[in-house]
Amino acid sequence: MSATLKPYLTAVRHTLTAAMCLDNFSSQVVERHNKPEVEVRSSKELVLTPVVISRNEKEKVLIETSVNSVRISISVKQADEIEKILCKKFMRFMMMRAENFIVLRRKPIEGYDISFLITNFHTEQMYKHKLVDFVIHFMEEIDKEISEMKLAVNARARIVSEEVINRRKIQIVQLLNDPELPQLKTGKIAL
Amino acid sequence: MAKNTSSSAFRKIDVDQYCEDNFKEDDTDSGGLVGPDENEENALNLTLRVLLSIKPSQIEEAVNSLDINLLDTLMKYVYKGFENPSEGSSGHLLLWHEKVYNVGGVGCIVRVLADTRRV
Repeated sequence: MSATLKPYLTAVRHTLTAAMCLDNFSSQVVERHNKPEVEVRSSKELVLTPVVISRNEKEKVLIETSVNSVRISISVKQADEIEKILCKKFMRFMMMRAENFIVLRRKPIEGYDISFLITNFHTEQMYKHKLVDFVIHFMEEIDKEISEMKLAVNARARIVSEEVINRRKIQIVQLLNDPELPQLKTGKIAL
Repeated sequence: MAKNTSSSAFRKIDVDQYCEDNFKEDDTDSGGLVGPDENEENALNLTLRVLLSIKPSQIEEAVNSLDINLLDTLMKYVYKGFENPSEGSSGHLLLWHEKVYNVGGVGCIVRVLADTRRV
């Protein structure tokens, strides 16, 4: 499974490098406006072919480019219920703080877990190769973080349940040793 | 006043269609408005089956023998194959992607994104 990780990330990296050729382009529909064409989709000639790169049925990346913006949507691996919940909450946490991320989109595209929107203004202010590095790094780290959180949740659950069981044990032992309740020892009262 | 001000039909004209700079679709593209037809689908399925059945060791040889136009088309099929992942297909396609990239470079991917003729 992890044998496909490196080719997957290199394929995404190459495609992102190709897709992130952005130029300033004012709106052709409304004067004095400048909108990311991949979001507005006002003119067919400005939006390029969207492209998918998948690692397996569950994990994939959708890259949609246009003349002045590119939208990257990532579908994160979620193997079981806990990972689904963790992923959802984690993504929600980040998307609420999308302004601080600058390139993050507040809502993911249908069918994906999280989306980035990179415009020509971002590529003018930041290095393109660094933006690509950021997205790839993000994809790597998400999986690690969700695994870590899942382990933490399981560890906490184990500790909590051990505590509860131990307390019950102590209570039971105390009841059994209580001299004022002799009938317990003969087992006539069910616990 | 002049009698032509009583009609407001001029408000309903779409002025943008008369603009000379408008993007005109190529003639070939407007013919393709019919949508994906049977031949296209068969070609797609066949190509994907071939791609998946070629062994990893033979991929490089196959890629080296192609010219640039065929390389671009091959890359288009690779990306199309990613859209419908099946058991183990994506891993194989990733190998193809890498090999085609080694020969075609970033330009190959850019041409996939920019070409109006889809797969």
